[in-house]
Amino acid sequence: MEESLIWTEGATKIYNPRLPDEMVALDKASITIRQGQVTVLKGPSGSGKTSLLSIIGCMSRPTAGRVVVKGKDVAKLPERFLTGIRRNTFGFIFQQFNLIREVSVQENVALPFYPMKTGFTEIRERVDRMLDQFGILAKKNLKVKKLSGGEQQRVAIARALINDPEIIIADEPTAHLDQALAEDLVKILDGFRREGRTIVIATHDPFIFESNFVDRTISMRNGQIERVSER
Amino acid sequence: MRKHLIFIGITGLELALLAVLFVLSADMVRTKGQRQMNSKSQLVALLGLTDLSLWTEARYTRHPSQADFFTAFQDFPAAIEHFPAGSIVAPLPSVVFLKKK
Amino acid sequence: MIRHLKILEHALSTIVRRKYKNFAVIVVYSFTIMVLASILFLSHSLKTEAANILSQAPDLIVQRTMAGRHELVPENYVEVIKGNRGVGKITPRYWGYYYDALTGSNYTILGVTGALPEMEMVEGALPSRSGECVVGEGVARARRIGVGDELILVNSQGLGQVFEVAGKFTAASDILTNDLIILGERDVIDFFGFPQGRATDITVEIRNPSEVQNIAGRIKRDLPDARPITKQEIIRTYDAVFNWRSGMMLTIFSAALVSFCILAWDKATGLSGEEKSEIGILKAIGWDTSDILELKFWEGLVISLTSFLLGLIAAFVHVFYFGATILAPVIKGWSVLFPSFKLIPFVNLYQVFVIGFLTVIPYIASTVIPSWKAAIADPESVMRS
Ligand SMILES: Nc1ncnc2c1ncn2[C@@H]1O[C@H](COP(=O)(O)OP(=O)(O)O)[C@@H](O)[C@H]1O
Ligand SMILES: [Mg+2]
Repeated sequence: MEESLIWTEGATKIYNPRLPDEMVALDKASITIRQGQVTVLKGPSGSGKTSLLSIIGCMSRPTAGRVVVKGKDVAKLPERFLTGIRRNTFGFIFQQFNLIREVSVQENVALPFYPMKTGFTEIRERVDRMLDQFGILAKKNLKVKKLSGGEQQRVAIARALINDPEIIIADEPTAHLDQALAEDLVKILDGFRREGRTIVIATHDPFIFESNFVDRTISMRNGQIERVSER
Repeated sequence: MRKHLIFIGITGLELALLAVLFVLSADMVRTKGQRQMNSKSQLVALLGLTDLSLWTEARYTRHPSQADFFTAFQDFPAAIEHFPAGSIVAPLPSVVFLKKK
Repeated sequence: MIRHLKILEHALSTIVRRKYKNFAVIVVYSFTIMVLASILFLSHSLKTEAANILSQAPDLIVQRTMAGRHELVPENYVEVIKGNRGVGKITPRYWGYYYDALTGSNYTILGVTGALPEMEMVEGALPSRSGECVVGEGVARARRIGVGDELILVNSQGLGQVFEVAGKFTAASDILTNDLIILGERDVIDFFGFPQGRATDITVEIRNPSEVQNIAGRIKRDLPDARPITKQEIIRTYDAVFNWRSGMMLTIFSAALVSFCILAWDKATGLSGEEKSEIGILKAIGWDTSDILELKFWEGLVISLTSFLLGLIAAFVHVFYFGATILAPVIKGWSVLFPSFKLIPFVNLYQVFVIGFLTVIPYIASTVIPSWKAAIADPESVMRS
């Protein structure tokens, strides 16, 4: 299992445990994410994709089971180690972009650097380079809410990449995009794959999981892993 | 990304202004204040004054140091100022009437 | 260091973003602090000034009470008091109050005897003969008179009596002399119709300050209806009068405090969904719990420190350069005459720090504490927004 960057064993997520509205979102899921591959979590809405992503991305802890990221069992690590992993290992692209809308593009992309030791000048240079790469440098001083949906997504991607993460996690990245923008996105993601990054995408959009840059597809249903297919 | 510099600048300015005000006031106390206090002290000594002439609505507010606890009811009806009530309750109209004319 | 500056930078972005709301908060907050600080500046300055100038007040004053009221003192008490060792000059004083129906104000009429030296704070001359008077600024203003004019007062017989204004106390002294009318002693006795052999009170000079208390005790023993008041008591009175708990101060202070609490409460309960989701976003992109709390700390500090400094500057200028114009009508109460405050700027830095602590720290706490829960939670929720 050398090349498996992340693996889970019996990962279970229960919301509101022991309450009337208890919800088993993830039921003993065991999966493996391999280094340098594009893995797609596929399944209908409500099947537990987001829950699984947030567990492997150290955004929440499983109710039961093991989650190992780069050899560390993160289910039991204290909070500040998780912060470190989030900061240095993952880059997230959220379904709703999750940008701070009233703040400038530049600041949004720079935010991951703020709690670190990087100086203002270096941050500015790196942010500019990143924005340039995605063709939105000219808009860096605009507030995010002034941008179009496609531009906002680029900002979100730029922010996810600014710390040069090993693993990129994207949750329903095409949900708010039209066909042309979705194609752009796939190109960008394919570019990351060629750079050797590991990519995990949750989606129910056939355009993504049928495109040929996907290495593995994990199908989910009712919180359980239904099938794993490899190209 | 310059906002922090602006904030630090403004705060520094405010602090400097306060410092200047304090220094000026200390200076004023030493010079003009001292002179004024000397001449006021002279007034107090020569006229045998006992109180500041601030409130004139009642004996115990005009000469608080000459008032006491055991001589009861030395108030003017409009003189409830000494208690928090005075800021809420106005004196009877019949009392202020004379003043208003 | 650079890390803190960056977090401060983002805190400022957050504040600028809600600029109208935060501007309003700063205005209200500065105003609250201005009122609070003005009260403290004003009362401290008055207190200090009173303590300084009243240190020249008579060492001991002997009053008399009868039937629960102040009563005129028989002049022969002077002889009894003289019997105590260590006692210097003993002077019966003749003074009283005068209600001026014309202006609705109360004056204090005080008699003086003998030749007084020239005083810096008197324009013109002191009364040198019968029928002359010196008036305070407030009296002069109320009656629209000046040096050389005439002052007509109604005496105890109900007859108008004319006094020539020989001098006027300068405006700079009005904190002591605003409502004063100085007449010759004989004039006061005749004007008020003092009974033969009675004075208002008696001042006693005491050579050794440490003896004052003893002598006061002995006078009280010899003259059971006498009430001696020592200089210490006079000075202490002003400490108590300008105590923060005293009426007016308390009222204003509590109003300020209440509005401040409402503000803090509003903040404490009002962590909006937007703010919560932002905390989640920041955590998701690698901010630690402590970074989030630091962000909130800066947000609170920027607002409260700015308001505190602005409020303090405004209070200072208001009290010492503009004579506490906003506060004066409140403090004035129902007095008709009221001196203008040309205050000597005594400042107590300790007090300033106390206001700082009592306003800045709670505000910061009310910013940081409500975000605590959101800051320690898993950032997972942002994935679902
Ligand atoms: N915080 C929560 N509290 C209760 N139920 C939740 C919560 N989050 C998700 N769920 C439920 O868990 C199930 C799985 O959700 P999710 O992982 O978001 O699925 P997907 O991303 O595949 O649509 C859904 O039925 C959802 O309603
Ligand atoms: Mg989902």
